[in-house]
Amino acid sequence: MRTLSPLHGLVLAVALAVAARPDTARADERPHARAAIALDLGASSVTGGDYDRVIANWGFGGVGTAVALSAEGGAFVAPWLMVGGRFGYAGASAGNAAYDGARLSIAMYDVSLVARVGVPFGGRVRWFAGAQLEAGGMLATASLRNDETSRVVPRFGAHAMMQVFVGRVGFGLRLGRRFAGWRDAGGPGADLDLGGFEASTGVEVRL
Amino acid sequence: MIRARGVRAALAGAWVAAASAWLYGCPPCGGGAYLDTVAQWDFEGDCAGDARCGFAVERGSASIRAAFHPGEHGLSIGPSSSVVAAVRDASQVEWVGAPQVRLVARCDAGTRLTVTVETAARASSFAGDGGPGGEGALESTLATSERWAAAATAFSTAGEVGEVRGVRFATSGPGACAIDAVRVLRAGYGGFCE
Repeated sequence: MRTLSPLHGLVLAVALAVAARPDTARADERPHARAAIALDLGASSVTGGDYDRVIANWGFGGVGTAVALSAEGGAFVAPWLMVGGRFGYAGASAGNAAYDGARLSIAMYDVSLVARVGVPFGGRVRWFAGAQLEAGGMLATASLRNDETSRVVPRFGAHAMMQVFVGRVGFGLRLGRRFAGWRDAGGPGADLDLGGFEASTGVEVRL
Repeated sequence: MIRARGVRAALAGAWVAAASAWLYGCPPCGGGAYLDTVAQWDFEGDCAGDARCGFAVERGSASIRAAFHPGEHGLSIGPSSSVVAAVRDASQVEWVGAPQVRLVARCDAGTRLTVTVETAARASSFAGDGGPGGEGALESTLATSERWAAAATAFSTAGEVGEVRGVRFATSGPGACAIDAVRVLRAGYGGFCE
């Protein structure tokens, strides 16, 4: 029978001591959130493009600023990376017809996947600075004189964001850009550019 | 004493002058040409049950259809077709020059849209000579594209033109055209004060 030498014994003892060492480093770290839900309210421009030039022939002023709402949720796969989804709405007026004053309205409903990367920093008051990318689809609807026409189009978004957290509740600001388009919305050759710049403020709760 | 009386007289004269100016409209009066809408078609609503909102098909086919949106309607004129509408130009204004027709239109590729304005002698005129102009027709081919855009006539005429009695739209070519927001305009001349 082979017996352990003193050297073997020493190595085994050191290994056991290391394994039994308390995780003091982890005990000092703040556990990161597992998930987050957020609500945002803001405004966005709508580029319009050729569509605005066509509808101007009937006296419509063009697609203006949209009021925008969104609800988001996601899971943190790392303290700096959240993936999830969002549901958003934006609505804008495109002006009134010269003939009878009828209003042309544009509504946009979107469902998108979301990926947010950023850096948390700060002490007792935590900050988060980062960027969020969005990709999904949008249902765009134009309404005039109790008639509607709609189209589902791809939608992409990119935003810079800054949040401040007190405990698990954060307040933030976002600035970014939306990319979407509705081909031939105003007839042949008149595309409606649904893209635009977005600015919003919101509340987020980290779970 | 004499100097004070002179000043009072000057002030009284100024008051009279100012009052006269206010009473008689001192701001300048003038005259000039203005555009008036003699007839218009927007193709909305039920048009009192008229399926083509006042336009009759002379040749081919025509129907009310959606323009750029289902809530905005125009008149679609089929290939090699023509439609005509009567105009009641009952104004007593002394019109100046040829009428204008303005509209929003689009045509399929390779298709032309022509507008013809039919005129008739005016029943009476300020000149008392039976009226300027007479029966006739002014024709113009509109510059159109496949995209909805504003279009207008550019008639060249010699002499005065009488009353507008009708307007005709005709297509030529392989495709169809659509029209909306049609206006027949006349230039009148009148006096006004600001």
